[in-house]
Amino acid sequence: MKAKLAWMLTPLLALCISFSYAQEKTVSGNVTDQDGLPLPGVAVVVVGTSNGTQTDFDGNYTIAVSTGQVLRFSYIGQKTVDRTVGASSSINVQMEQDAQALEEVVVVGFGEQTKKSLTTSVAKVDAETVKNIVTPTISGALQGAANGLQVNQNSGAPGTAFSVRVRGASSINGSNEPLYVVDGVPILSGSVGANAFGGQDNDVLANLNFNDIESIQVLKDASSAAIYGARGANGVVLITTKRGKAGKVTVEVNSQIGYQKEINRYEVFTAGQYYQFADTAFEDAFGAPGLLSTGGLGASFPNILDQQGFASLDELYASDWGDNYVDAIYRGSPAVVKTMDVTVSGGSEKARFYANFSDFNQEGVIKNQGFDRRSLTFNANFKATDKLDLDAAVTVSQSDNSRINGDNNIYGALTTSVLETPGNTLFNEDGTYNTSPFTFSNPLQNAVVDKSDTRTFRMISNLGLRYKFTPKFNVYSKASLERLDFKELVFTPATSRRGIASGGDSTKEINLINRWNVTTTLNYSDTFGNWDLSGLLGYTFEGTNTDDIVTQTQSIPAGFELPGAGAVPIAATNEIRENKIFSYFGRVGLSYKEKVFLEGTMRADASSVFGAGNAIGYFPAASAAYLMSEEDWFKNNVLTTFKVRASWGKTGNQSGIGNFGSRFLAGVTNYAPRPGTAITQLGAPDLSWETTTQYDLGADITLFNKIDIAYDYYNKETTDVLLSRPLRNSSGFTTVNANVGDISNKGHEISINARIFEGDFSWTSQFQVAYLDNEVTSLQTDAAGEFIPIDQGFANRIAVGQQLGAFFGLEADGLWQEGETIPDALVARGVEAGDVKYVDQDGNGDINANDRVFIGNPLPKWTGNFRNTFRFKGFDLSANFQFEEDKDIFNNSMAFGGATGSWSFNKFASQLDYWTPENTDTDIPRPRFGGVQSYNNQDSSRLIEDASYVRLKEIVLGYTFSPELLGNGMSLRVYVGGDNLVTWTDYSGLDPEVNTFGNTNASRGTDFFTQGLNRTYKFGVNFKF
Amino acid sequence: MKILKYLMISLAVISYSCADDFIDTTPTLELPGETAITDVASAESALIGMYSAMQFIGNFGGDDAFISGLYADELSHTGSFPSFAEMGANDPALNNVEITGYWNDHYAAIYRANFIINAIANPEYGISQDSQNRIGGQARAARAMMYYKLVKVFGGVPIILDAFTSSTDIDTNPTPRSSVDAVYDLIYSDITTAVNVLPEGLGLYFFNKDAARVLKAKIEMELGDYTTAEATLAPVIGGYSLETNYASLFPAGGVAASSSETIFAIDFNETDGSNHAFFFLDGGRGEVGPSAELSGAFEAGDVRLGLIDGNNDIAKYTDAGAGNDDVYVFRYADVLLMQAELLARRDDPSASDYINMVRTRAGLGDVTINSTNVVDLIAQERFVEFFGECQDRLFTITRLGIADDVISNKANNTYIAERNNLWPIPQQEIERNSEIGTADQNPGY
Repeated sequence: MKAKLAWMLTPLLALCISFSYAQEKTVSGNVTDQDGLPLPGVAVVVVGTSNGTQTDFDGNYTIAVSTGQVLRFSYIGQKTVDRTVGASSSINVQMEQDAQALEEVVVVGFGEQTKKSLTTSVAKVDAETVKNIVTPTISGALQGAANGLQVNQNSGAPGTAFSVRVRGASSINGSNEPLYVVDGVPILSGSVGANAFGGQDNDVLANLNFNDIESIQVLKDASSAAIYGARGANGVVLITTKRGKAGKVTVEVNSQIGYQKEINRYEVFTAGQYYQFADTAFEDAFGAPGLLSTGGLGASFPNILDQQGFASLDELYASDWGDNYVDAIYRGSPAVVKTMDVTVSGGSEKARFYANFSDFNQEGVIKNQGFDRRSLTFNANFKATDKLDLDAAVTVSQSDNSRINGDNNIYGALTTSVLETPGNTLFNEDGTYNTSPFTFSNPLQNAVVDKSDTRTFRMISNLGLRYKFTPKFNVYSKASLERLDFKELVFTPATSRRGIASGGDSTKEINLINRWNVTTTLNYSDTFGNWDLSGLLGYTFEGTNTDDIVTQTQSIPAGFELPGAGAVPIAATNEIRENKIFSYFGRVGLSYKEKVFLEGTMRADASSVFGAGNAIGYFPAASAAYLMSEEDWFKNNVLTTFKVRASWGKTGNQSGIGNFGSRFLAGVTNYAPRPGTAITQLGAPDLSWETTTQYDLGADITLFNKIDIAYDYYNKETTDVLLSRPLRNSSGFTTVNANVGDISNKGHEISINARIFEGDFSWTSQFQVAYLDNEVTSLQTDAAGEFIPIDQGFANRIAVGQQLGAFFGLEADGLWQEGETIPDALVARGVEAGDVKYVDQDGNGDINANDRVFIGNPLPKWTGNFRNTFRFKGFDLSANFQFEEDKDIFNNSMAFGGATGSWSFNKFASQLDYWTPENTDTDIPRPRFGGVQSYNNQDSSRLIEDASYVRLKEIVLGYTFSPELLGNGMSLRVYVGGDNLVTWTDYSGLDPEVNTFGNTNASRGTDFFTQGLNRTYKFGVNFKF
Repeated sequence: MKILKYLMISLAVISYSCADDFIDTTPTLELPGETAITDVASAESALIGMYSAMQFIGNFGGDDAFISGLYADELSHTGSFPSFAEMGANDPALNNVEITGYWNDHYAAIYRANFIINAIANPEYGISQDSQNRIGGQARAARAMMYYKLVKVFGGVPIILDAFTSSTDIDTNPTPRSSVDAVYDLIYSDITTAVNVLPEGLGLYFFNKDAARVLKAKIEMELGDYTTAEATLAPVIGGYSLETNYASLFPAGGVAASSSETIFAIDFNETDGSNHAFFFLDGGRGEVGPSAELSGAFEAGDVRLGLIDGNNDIAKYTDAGAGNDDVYVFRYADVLLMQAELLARRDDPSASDYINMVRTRAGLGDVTINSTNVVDLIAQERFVEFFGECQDRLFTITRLGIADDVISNKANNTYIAERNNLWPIPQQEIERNSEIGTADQNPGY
């Protein structure tokens, strides 16, 4: 009623006033976007006054104004338009998208800012750029898209977790993964199952439908992330989901099909080569030829020469027989990956909605692998009254992941496909699996018969209310409930090699996770002359409750899989864990004439995991920016934008503490079989979060209005790094939790976005590169003041002055050659020409653990991408190259399938080039047996390889049909493309990106028969009406 | 609208007022450490916890047998672990993970024994003298056993008698290696106390009085005090009987309790399994198997060879899946061979009776044992009787002084005399214990 009255009165008043002030009048008009569509919510103000209004749902506005005054139309993401009021009482405005990106909206913690006012370092990834990449996981799409992030797919198995590092790694015991926040609410991320196979950790982020995402912003510096306090140190990934837009209801269909093949396969010795190699080793040790081939090693070794009917050893060595295990475990035809995604969205001024159904289905390239996800999302925004807005969202998804013993496992399909004794058939004549001739197990049976299947159900729901007390002051409160049900069945039947001893083993884990969060913020913004002030004050409380049940039985009758069918109960465990955090936070922003921007934030966290001595953590931050190009004296046509930024802040990482990590605990145990207790953890009452203090200096530059350059230098010092710090082993405990380490990450980031051509033919080019210098600067010291190194993985070591988890081992300097003088101590151990020549670092004449040195670095110094997009008429072509430079891999597969591996293992085909007195120009040692084989096989720089690579991450060619052709409001785009089509690398393993230990912090860069990535060819359709 | 305002304000107030309580959480599978021992019942629980540490893989859980057997001439490496290969080649790296694990798991059990020994005497807990004898006696016997297993393979080790509950105390109390004699002094004192205070009837899975006697006699034999050893062993002689059938000592399910021969065994069951069968059998990893020396050591007709199966696996353990196989610490055949040795050393003719009891069961003819052939006959008989059981072969050859011969004659290994057949002190201990430096490492490493 009030509103109506106002509408009626306004013209009346205007009319009255017009008598007294002749130039005062009412101007009305319509505001549209560049496509001519009405633009609601555009701010229309009379410059220099506090008089203003907004356009309504149809883009119309009416305002009282005097002739000669200036009307300013501003809308986020559009260029601001000024119009001087003249004689006409109608001013229509068509706004243009702001190509300078300064007006681009950037989502920040608990709010939004324009790029212009941003004082911190935030990377934004538009979902549109990366939407066609074939991955089930959001993190996968960040690879080669956001600068300063190292994103790796740890294994090629479907559903595998990615590892994401924002500006390096700063934690040893905790997580180095960023905090993921969806529409303002932190969500669960990472792996939840206890039964992860190495390198194949699952990732609950894979349950989120990538197509629901509008944009992703990564808060990189401490100043932007400090508002997330004790969980902000690894950076924060803010995910904004799509919302319905006012206007007609649209239906959008995205459909894609892809065909995947592994990039590389292992190549191994033929059966004949295998026997030749082993015979050579045994002849060296025992002096007789053909010992393995002729059954000369004992009763348990068959006479292969007779069995296969060869006339001579030479004939045997030149022959091949049996199945090719490597080829057998891979799917015969390309693996199919399909996406079907349907969205219906639309609404009115009062109510908007978005509804999506999505189905993603990926076969694995190795038999019996797969990932499959279905999800439903519905969200709605209501303007309940003039003062009250309401938003609600629910998303439900279910994913199924079939995994196999893929890698990092001596029963793994890939592992055994290489290492198993060649010359055997995989099936018996009756069609059953052949098991007896294999040292460990039948490789195909490992892939097909043993299983680890997970099902993850996930629901995220939230409800938000915004009440506007005045246009300048509002309160927003959001409650969120998340539920994740994780179920995993690991089953090895009695017929499989792993299950045979137990008569079949079935383990079921059910992990039920509830999480809830309530966040309330008071938001205030106002203008005082040339000064704009904004403020935010809020609190949040959040809890996570995990109810984890594992049951295991053995002796499973044929035809059954579940633990309930087992005759022998093995384990039944149940644990409930609870984790809570309560926080206050605030932010104040101040800007002067939209040129100088100042911001300060503060967060206080009380967390259930902190030790009693450190109840509350405070995380302050401050930042400033100066947009020099807004100054009149600066304005020029070359440097069209010039902005400098500086920020400083403290963030925390509490993830390493564990729920009860600070307490002195006695755990439960049993014996014979009676219940008992034992001290399981020493107390550490002062245990606290890890503190990262980071400063960032940056500049945003635009040249000629065409080239945007963003540069950042950062310096991140993490102190109080949580460690299971070593204790004197003879104390009875080897470690205790403590805040003792320091890690430094420093780097440069530069990102260049150029609009080389605009118009009918457009070409945009993006080059981003980040340099990272990671170093451990302090660890626990022993009583003598020496830092105590910590060994991880196979050859990683955490040591001061080195990269986190640098490779540590002997330094190999080729091979001993005939005529060289081998030290006596080594001769005594049997070392001869053709064996590995290790560098005797301590000069004591012998080679032992004291001769180990740092031999490689697993973290890349350089990461980045180079993306080019071309458009002409309806065609679009984009190609994105992604690279990592200056990183090493410890190729542990070589310690098994290399020439120095045990004689019983088959070897990589490359190992044929081993040393002989005639073939001396090689670094592959000669075949040996016994002590010298172990000696040659020690962890050394022989196993370190350069794993730098450049990869054509994605290339897509699309065609959008002209709207005229399709008619009324339809749009149709078809495209073809490929992922990972070309990789340039010197790495000899399957892929330079793999990590056998998955997402672990300090044992990165290790490859133990880890499944490599796939090459994908894809076709897709985007259809909208 | 007013309702909404009040709702939000009250929400804020409610959450504010309970902030402190809000973050309170309670573990569901642990107790505060301070309450671990407060009375006799909790002390009994802690004692179970101590036995549980003796089940660790580096303790009696399997690795002790594997790496000792590999280091001696008992086992051969048939699997893939480089750390096992190093043991088989008698050239362990300073950071060999199995040796480090052996060290850690024995000191973990020592910690738990120390915790009990030091706590139960506290008068506040009101634990009766009888209970202190029963609980403390077992803890001392176990501690003696742990130090014995350490001193045999490492030589002098740090003597730790405290169970520190704070890391600061551990940091400020670095401990040097003690001499071999000092370690034996502690062992002897502990086991003597245990023999004196332990009551009868504790059961086969616990360090009972007879088990303590056997260990005490073994220590006395190590120290060359054969006279006292005879006296110590006397109460055990005749108290047990050999199983008629050797194979029935190792039934499926490995239930040592059913054997008349068991003196002390470590219990393992499906829910709390050992690693022996998994590592020994091809049905498991098949990581270790009998050595050629072992297979060749059997006389013709020895039924014990039947425990090396058709796959050339040691088949004394049967459950490669769940590990339901008990592990003998002491069984009566051991006592008989100890008695035979003790009597033979002073040329007592009845010595042969004892060794022949063991041989007869194995289907072998009698031998005559005396002070001239005692070392050969005892080493041989123990080899074929106790193969695959704990560390008997390594401990026997080092005790009898034949280890240099045995180890230097292994094929394809590294024999370095100055190592004295000892393993290296783990590199980690040297790095973390400021009282032990590189110079304190065993010679030859």
